[in-house]
Amino acid sequence: MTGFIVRRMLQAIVLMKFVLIFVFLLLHLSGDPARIMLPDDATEEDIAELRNEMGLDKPLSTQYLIFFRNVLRGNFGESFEHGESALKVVLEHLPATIELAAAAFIMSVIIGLPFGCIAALKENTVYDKSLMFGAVLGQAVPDFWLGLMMILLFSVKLGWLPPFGYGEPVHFIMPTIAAGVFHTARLARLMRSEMLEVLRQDYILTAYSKGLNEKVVLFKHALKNSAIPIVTILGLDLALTLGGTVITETVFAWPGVGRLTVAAIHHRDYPIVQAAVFLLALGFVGINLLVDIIYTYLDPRIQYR
Amino acid sequence: MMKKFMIFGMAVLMSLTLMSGSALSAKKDQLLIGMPGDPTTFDPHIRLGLPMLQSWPLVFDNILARDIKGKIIPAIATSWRYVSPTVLELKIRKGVKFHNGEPVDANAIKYSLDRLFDKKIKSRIRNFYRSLTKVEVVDSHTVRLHTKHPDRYLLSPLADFSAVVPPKHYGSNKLKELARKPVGSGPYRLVKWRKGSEMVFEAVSGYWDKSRQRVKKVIVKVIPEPTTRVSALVSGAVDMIKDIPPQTVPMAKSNPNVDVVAGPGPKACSLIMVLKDGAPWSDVRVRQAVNHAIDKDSIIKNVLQGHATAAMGTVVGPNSFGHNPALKPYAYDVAKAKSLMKAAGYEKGFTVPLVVPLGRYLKGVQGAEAIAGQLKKININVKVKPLEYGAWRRNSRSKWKKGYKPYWNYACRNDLALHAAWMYSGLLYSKSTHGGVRSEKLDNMIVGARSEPDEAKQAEKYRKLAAYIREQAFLGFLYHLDEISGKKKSVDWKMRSTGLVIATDAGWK
Repeated sequence: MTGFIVRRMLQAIVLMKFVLIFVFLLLHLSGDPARIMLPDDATEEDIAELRNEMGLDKPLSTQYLIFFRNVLRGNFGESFEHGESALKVVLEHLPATIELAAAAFIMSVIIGLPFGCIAALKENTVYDKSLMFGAVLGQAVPDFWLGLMMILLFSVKLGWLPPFGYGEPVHFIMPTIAAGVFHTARLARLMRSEMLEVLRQDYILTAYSKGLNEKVVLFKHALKNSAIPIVTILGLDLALTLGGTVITETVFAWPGVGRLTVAAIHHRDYPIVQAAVFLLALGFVGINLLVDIIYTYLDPRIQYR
Repeated sequence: MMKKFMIFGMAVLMSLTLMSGSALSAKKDQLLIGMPGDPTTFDPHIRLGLPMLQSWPLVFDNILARDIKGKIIPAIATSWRYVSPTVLELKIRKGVKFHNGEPVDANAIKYSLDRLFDKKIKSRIRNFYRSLTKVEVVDSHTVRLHTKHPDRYLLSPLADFSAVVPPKHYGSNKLKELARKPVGSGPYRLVKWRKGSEMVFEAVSGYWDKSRQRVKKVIVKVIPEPTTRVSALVSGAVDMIKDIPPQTVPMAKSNPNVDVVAGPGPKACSLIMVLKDGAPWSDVRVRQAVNHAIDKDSIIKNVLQGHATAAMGTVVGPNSFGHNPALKPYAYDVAKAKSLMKAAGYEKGFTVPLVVPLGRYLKGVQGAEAIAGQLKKININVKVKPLEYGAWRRNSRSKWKKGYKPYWNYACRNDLALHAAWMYSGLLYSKSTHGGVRSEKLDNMIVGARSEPDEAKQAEKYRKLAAYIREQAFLGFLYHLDEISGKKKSVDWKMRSTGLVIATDAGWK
């Protein structure tokens, strides 16, 4: 078990190093911040001077070495736009994104899983069909459209909810639904199909024939065995929500890291983009590591593969 | 079971709504403003941007200021005069203190202007002070600014981007601290700032200009998505907002308690035709044909829903210094355009790429596509290429390098300084990396007008320059975009000719 975890962690470190190289190259080859930052009347000399001041005139390899050495010390440099530590700015925006991602994730689990189970147990009934219709709809609706429609209905027409904002529990309602509806719907559909497959297995029939009651069969035998693919999807979903809330953040004026990163990409504010991508990638890798560990609990055979 | 669940859900929703009620109720001693963005830094000497220009004046005083119509008025400097064509003398207001108690005096002015040239600051504002050679302290409340050449245009940056800061505080604190915690001498103090979300300003006591402290507290909410911003105004969650896209104007007007305030703004959109390597539009007749073949009124009506004014053959708007009111727009005349193309030998036309930044300008891509459609009539095949902003900037700034074929660029420039010098230096002066013209004659006229020490003569030179630019059709003149903002009817606020929404202008009726 320990060997398995250590192996996975080493793989994660190597992966993070590649992430750093990739982000660095992608950014540096895609545009020059000095050309973007200066006003329209800037001359070539102005641009050259700013490049020099920002150290952008050094060879790319030198810039990478400086960057990598600083990252090892936890220093992503100073943001070109914000004039302060990029890591500090990103960390300041990160909690809002984590909170939104967590809320959307919890919503998908507490709604998607039970609805998927119900649909499976009531296969081909009206319940099943309406739930699955809802799920298909939930997957098809774009999050920005849903967000704007909710604002128009609940804020403008009915006046029940604030159209934007952050900091109070009520501000979570609409952004959570907008960010979570796709994942909830997907999870419900997946749960249904996994459950149906497990319910058709011989050991379920055996469990029933042993005289076990339905609750024990469902919760102890069926649910645990349908959990492995679900855990994979849950892990991926959580990671994806972390990096994919940018549209919801924009629609609801949510001060998260997604919006910050997109603005930083526009301005080629390398330090912010690098710090944000690094932290989000770290979150992604960390969640995957956790999923791997949970696998070994759900199915002990996995660690020997 | 289901019913109980629904009742529980409704109860939770209602209680949460009540908890957030504070945002929905307007208090008369505070103003809630919804803005598209907030500054990245509150250090007023590093870089410019609309969010900065709209937030900084609350905390900092500029050396000079502008009234609503854009006229330069006294601020920290109570008067100014040219003691010689290259020396501008400023008299500093007495008895003003920074929020930390330091005095606002000649030394503070010198420190603030010199700070722009401090290498450590990496200022991108210093471009506006290119002509400045020395800041001389004459006495504790008199300063003289020496320039390389006569430069009346210097008054514009002094009125717009010349925040005065306390020397001791800014000299002894780290830059990253100053970026977050500003100390100025302005009407408000920044008391809370959650980046990307909210700024809270509180009025300081004893400020010299009470007319700029109409409410005790200003809360700026950052709402980037326009529909959400308009919803916030319509639902009463904020008292006023900046930037309403034309398509959401009817939605804003759906609430009878909301006023939509729209008017001509300082943003001029043009086609930059890069004059390079024998491009067909190196011939003035082709450029004139392009101007005649673009139906500006149709684009304004159908794409911009009426929220723009056709450019009068110029990029300098009626509120700006150097505007020439005698100029007329290029008339939409396809027959004339065709004959000009024929005379230039391009009857069969040519193909040209037109780059346009994505999401940068109001209906930029749609505008460019409409132009492409119209120019087909004179056989110009325009290939619209929408580019991500960073890529567009790089493309635009690299155009003079080898390997970049001549092309057209759809660009809008905000005349924030309300001055012809600002527009020409960024669009037509040969050293501008953004512009598309390299003409010695034009350069001489631009420099000549800017360096003219006499105000009346300078205005005349700019009028002549505008007429020359129109005649030579150095740009495809398109339109001046309207500024559209919204407010509750009970808010007393008028639009600035700069288009900036500065909270000090607003109060309750």
